[in-house]
Amino acid sequence: MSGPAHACSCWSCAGVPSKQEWEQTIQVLVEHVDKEFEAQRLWMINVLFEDNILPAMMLMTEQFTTVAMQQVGIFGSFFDAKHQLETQRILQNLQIEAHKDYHPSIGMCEFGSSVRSLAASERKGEINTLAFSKRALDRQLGASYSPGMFGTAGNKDSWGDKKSRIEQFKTTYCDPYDQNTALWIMCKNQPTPPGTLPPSGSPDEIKRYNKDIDYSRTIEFPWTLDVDFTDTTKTEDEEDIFALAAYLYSHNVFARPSPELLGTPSDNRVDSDLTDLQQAYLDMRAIVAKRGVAENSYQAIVGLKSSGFSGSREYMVALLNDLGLTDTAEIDALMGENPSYYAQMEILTKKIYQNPTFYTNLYDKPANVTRKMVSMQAIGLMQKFDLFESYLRSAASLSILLELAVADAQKELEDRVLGLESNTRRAD
Amino acid sequence: MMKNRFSAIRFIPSPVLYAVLAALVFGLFFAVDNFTFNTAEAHICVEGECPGDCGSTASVIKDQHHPEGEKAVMTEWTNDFAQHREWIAKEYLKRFFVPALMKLTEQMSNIAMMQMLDVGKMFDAKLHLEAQRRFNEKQNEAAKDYYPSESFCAIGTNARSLSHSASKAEANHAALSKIARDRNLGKIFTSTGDTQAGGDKKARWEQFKSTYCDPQDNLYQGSGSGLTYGTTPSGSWEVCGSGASDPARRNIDLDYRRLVENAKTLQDIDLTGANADDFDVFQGDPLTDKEEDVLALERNLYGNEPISRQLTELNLSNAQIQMMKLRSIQARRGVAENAYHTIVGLKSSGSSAETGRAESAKFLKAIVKDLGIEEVEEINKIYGEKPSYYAQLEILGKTIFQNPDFFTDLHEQPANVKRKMAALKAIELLLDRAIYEIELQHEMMTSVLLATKLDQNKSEIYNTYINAE
Repeated sequence: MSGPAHACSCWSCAGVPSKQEWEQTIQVLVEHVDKEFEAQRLWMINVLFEDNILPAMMLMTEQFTTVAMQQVGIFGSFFDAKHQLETQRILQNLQIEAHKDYHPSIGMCEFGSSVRSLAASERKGEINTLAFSKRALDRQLGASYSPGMFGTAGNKDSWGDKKSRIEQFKTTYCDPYDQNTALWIMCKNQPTPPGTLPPSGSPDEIKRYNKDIDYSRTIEFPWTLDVDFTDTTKTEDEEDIFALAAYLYSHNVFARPSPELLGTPSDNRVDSDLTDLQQAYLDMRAIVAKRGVAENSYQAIVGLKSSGFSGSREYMVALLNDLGLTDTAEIDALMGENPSYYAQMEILTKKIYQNPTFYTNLYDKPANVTRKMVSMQAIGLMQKFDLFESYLRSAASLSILLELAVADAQKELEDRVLGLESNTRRAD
Repeated sequence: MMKNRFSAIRFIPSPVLYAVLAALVFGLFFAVDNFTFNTAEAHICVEGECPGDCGSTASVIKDQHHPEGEKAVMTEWTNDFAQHREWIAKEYLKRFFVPALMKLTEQMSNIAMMQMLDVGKMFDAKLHLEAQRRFNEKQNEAAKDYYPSESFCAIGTNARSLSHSASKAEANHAALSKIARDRNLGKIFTSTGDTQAGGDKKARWEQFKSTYCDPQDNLYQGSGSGLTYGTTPSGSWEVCGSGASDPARRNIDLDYRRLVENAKTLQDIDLTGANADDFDVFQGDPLTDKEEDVLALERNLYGNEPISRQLTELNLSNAQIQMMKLRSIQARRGVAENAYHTIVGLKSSGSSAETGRAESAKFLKAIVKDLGIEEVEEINKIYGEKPSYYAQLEILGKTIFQNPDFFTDLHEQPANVKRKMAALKAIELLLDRAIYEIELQHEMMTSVLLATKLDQNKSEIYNTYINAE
């Protein structure tokens, strides 16, 4: 731009530049400016925009696109993380719930452990009642090798049974201080010592005094009786319950009829009707049957308390220890070596709940509380079935009692009918 | 249109807008700066290069041409700047920046849209995953809540034939009542239907000798004693010889415990072969040994002395009054016998699969087996081949819980524990109902007993009246 202007001014200064020349100069200047502007525009387009701004914008766009995509990725990661964390939380919740729901409870285990050998003990008790029942029947019928076989056939009294029981009373159950010491002469075979009272016996002997008539001491209080008729060992408890049974049921056994009178002569000397003795024998059997129903309750109770199996004993002892009963001898006296069905049920239905720990242990997991509820329901059912059995026995006894009353009424009525009939006949 | 474009630009993220504006300002500044530089250079050329000779020339130029030239150059520059501005506004911006910015905007919009799609997909995935997780949760919950429990099934399976067995027990009860009623009424063809009332005892004596006699009773000390046989100088005698042919049945007719109490199922007692109401043992319906035993025991327990049939001339009113009194005795005895019939009915054989009914015997026995009784024969001996309603109730209400496994099995799914609770409640209701029924009988017997005792008082008063008159 400066070149041509310089030439113009210096080379033409000899003469005055013409207007045309000046206009040419102006034209040159104008064209130059125009070209410069065009160059400027091209530069702005090609260099500034296309070479710089556009790539920058493209890069920017690319960057923005990438960032946007990355943002989506990040956003997705957030979702993913959120989901993952939520799932993890759910799993942890479930894990905690499972831990809570399946946490073992000592209280629950107590139920399970205390139930051990319950079925076996009960079955043993049932077998014991059968043996007891057989023994009772044999005694009443005077079967061979039974306590009722002593005596003489045809003798009207039943002295044989009584004689053996009196001997047993003297040696085992007699307290010489009873009857104002009058029993000395009977039991010790010596008169009452004058002045001072002699020792009545050893502690073991004293322990059994009057047990043959003391239902509470013999049957009611102990949880387990040392009674096991499945072995051949005779125990004091077995003697005691037999002695008590003899007083409670069939104190007087029937007289034994003479067999030749009871029997039917083979030569048909007697007509086909039953003899009075035969009829009486049948009546006696009917009474024995009724007595069997009565005695059934006693046998059932003895069976429930007869010794069972020791499967759950240590747990029962632990429970009693918790309750404050720690004396081993006392525990032995209460439940024996082999706790009875009754003893086990006593623990399951009563003793467990007399321990405050049971109630504090109910601050257990709710699932375990539900389990305990079901366990108690199960135990309640067992007890209810026992109750049902007791009701059945009671119903059987009451029905026999009613039958006896009805039989009395029947007899009274029939006597009247017979009287009426004979009066009618006489009148005829 | 422009407005819309500007509106579109507003949506471009702010960094983009700033960048575009910076580029524009920068471009404009650059253009103006170049122009100023050129002008300064022209001025130096005129003033500096021709200081001497050119003075006059310059003044000529100045005087004659400068104003016009200056004006022309200024006008040209003004026009050029105006064109340049117009070019920047209309050409440069419109042709280059605006399309580029539009593309940028479009790209950004597309990206934003795409981003939304992706976000939407993520929401979709999120919801899908959450739904899937929910399904999984529900699936697990269902697996937990509906997980089969063997010990629970044990209860359900063993309740299978309860209903049939209960119905059977009632039918047996009804049949036993009918047999007893027939005997009490001296119905023809019954043991008491003999022409003589003593016929009953005679039949029972024969039955005693052949079936229930234990020859070693009655002080047995060898042959010729007890209830055996022997000879005397006047001839031979025999009570029951060698006794009952089946030793297991000896004296069972008076052993309530052995026959009824200890049995969980009175096997072979099924009087439902015929219609219970039509059942008539004395008209040829056969009896099993056990049925015979139960009836023999019943005769010893109730109505040992059958009601007298010495009343004659029943056409006379006096006799009829007495007959009504005898019927009163029979009615009361019926109440007493009802308890026995109920118990025997409860313990009579249950339903069996043979009759096409649901049968739970093998499952019941499995429970007993779990308790340690391995021999099937032994189990059958205790619970019977077809366990009675009583036996089923005992297993469901007691035996099943005597196994410690029941309590350890409670450490299972809480839903199953709740189900067991409901099942136990149901069994409890069954037991409660059975107890209630027995209680009703109890109540009835007590009431009849009271009435009978009152009748005795009444007859004493009656006798006093008669004597007074």
